[in-house]
Amino acid sequence: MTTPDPYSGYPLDPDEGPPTRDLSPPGGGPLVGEPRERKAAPEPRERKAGREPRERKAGRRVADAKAQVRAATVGGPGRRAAAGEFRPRRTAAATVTALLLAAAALVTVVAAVAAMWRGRSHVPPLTWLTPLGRTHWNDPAAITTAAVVCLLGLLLLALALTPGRARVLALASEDQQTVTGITRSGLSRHLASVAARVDGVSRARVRFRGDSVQVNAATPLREVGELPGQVIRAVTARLEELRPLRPMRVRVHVRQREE
Amino acid sequence: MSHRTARVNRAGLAIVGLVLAVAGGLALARGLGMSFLWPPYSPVISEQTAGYAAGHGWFWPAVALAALVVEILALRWLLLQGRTDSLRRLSLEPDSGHGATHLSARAAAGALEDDVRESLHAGRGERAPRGERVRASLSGAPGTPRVALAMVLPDETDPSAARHGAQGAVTRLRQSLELDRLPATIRMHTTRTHP
Repeated sequence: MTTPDPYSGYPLDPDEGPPTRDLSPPGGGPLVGEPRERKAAPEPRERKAGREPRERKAGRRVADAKAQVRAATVGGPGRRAAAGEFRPRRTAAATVTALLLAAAALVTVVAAVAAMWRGRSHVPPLTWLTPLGRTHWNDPAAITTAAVVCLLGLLLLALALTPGRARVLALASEDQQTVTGITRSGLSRHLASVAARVDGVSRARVRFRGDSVQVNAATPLREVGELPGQVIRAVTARLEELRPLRPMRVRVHVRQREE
Repeated sequence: MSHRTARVNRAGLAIVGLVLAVAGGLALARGLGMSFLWPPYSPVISEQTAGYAAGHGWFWPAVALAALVVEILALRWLLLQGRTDSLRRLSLEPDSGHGATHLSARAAAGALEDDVRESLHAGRGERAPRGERVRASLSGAPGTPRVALAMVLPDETDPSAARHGAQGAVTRLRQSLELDRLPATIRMHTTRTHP
């Protein structure tokens, strides 16, 4: 039901990656819906992986490598649906704003009703309004308040109009009706475990910066050698299996350190 | 309905933000003497304003009514945040002339969860590894449900294999419910399971 994994022929370390799984559904049932348009088998790749390690910082050997993971080719509607599904809903900002708005409106209702009755009975006047009769527009307090209110309004406008940073990264789906994603933190944890399983890597950490993935790996080996290339192959191979809907850059930084 | 919540949230934030920005901006312009119409040295509530409010009987009732409307809108907006829109039961018979068949949405979600767990271990009958969690919920209308599937995987599990297994389980649920359309959202996360 799926096209063969175009990446399976990729040379990886023998102990890289989990044991291969039987990917066919247990029931063997065919999937409804056409399989999505898949990427064609990739052309032989040329990576700037594994540049010569260079000396840095008092004999410490460090080496960097870079690669690009292309975006999965998914049609427009699927991409839009995925983007809409994982866009921040601004729930926190909306909750706080709605609460404050409700509180302010309640105070106003009570004050206005009190003012209505003051006309007939002899309720004392609204004490919190009287200072406003003495404050002038150009008093520092008034100017500060106006500036704060203006900034707050601009902040809310920015929250409303900017798309926001999605915590979930959209991935390609096998099915038109399904939207799939993985949390950024979850993916970075997984990629760190992938990088840490490369022979010679003792520790690895992965961070996201926008659409780029920064892998920082440490090795006890005296010679860094081909390690950046191996790490970047392992990480990009896994990312290309996941087929993110946006292209991603991968950078690897390997640092030699004695344990 | 979460899409609607997102739209309402953004619209609400934009309206409140615009009102605050414009009001704050005008007050700032007046305070800094950049407004031609009004002098900056007058009180915030002038004698005229106070006199107008005191002299017109409708002023405070109108303010109270406007604030009440704002209050109701704000409370509705607030209540929208807590709504999950989850389904209690599914209706499996599209033609009401043939009677009605209902299925508990929780039962369908539970079956999906079991199927996903099964496919994550590829039928090997293993126990779930530490940290693995699968949670499914159905939302939408009884005749046109949507399914949301959240998976937490150990960080060494291959998410693309998990995605494949989950997709198969969703497809089987769609078939067994005899639905043409069952939109699904699969969301994955990982936890650290090794020291």
